[in-house]
Amino acid sequence: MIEAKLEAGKSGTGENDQLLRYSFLLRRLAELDLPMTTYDLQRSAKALLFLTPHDASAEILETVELCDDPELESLLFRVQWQDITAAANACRLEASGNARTILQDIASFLIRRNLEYFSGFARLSLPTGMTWDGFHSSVASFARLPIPHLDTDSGYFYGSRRPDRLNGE
Amino acid sequence: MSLTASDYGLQIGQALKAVARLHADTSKLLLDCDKHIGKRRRSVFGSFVTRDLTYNVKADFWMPEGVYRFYDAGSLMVDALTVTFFMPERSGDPEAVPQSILTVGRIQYADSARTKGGDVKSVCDPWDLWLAFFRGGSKPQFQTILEGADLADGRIAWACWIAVPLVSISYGLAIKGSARHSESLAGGLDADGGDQLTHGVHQGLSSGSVVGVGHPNSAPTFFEHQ
Repeated sequence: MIEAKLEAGKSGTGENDQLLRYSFLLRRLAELDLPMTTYDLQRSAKALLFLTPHDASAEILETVELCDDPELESLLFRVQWQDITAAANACRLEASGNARTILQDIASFLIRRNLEYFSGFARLSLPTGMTWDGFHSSVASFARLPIPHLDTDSGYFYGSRRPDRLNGE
Repeated sequence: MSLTASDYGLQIGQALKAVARLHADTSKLLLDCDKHIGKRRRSVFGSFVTRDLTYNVKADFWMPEGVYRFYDAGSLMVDALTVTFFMPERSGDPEAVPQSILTVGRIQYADSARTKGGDVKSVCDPWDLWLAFFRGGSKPQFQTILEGADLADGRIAWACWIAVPLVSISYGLAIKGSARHSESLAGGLDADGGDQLTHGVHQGLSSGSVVGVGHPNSAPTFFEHQ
């Protein structure tokens, strides 16, 4: 079971603690109508993974304190999206074919969402050659632009036609 | 494409893109700080990292001057970070911040400043580290561990901090360069209380004194030395 968060944190407190409620569900997996064969259910491992963009250690520990079952506590795990980015980047180097493409896409997508660990500040190339004198001359040019004519009858100057013409009159 | 005077808009466009990217990278840095400096401790201001932005149509600008992160270290103490993106005239001397700055520090609030039953949030202002750095002395100093006492009208019992150029941070919270020496800014915000409060600083620090504390080469190292 994976609880994925992007901008929100864990919801609920006390008995309504989100992760606590989900961990109780792990006890009842056999009762749930899951799209899995009995064989797959028997050989599968149970775990609750809390996936967040931030360090959720405190939230996990809070749930652990609420949980009175040591077995359930041992099923709680956390991971950050940034870990997935790092793992995908690391694994793709040894992957090939479609697997490599998928891992590349995952890493690229997460990086695009800024879900990667800090690795220094990007240095974007900035145009050079402009002086502050140039700025002032630009302002001067702007100041010379003609101001749109204000229709003295209607006060309308957002379009080329008067409002009455827009109404077909 | 060569630039001419009429290309100023292109420069502004690129500059704004660079600012947006700086914000994104700073966000990553702060999230890393939660793990390496916060160390499972509560963020005093939750997930919020800035404030005092204006939404008004009448504005000098609509971008944050800086961001902050404060971790509750218990007993009215916080480990804190502040990024100062720029200094507008209304806040101080713009020349004091020719480039963005990261300040990390530890602040001990005075118990007398706490409201009855209040926690650290009741005495903590998110710009306290900013205040200590820019108001603590006549000229901001970088890559030097500084300390002060009885700041902000006695609300802060003592504080120590170090500031570095933000973009010098390359990875893993490492800070390029090192602290060469330590200087006292005791009473920086309240000149009347200088000597007595310097003594308070040394009493408050578990290591006895910041002077000669070493040469931290990373933000976590800075806190380990304190």
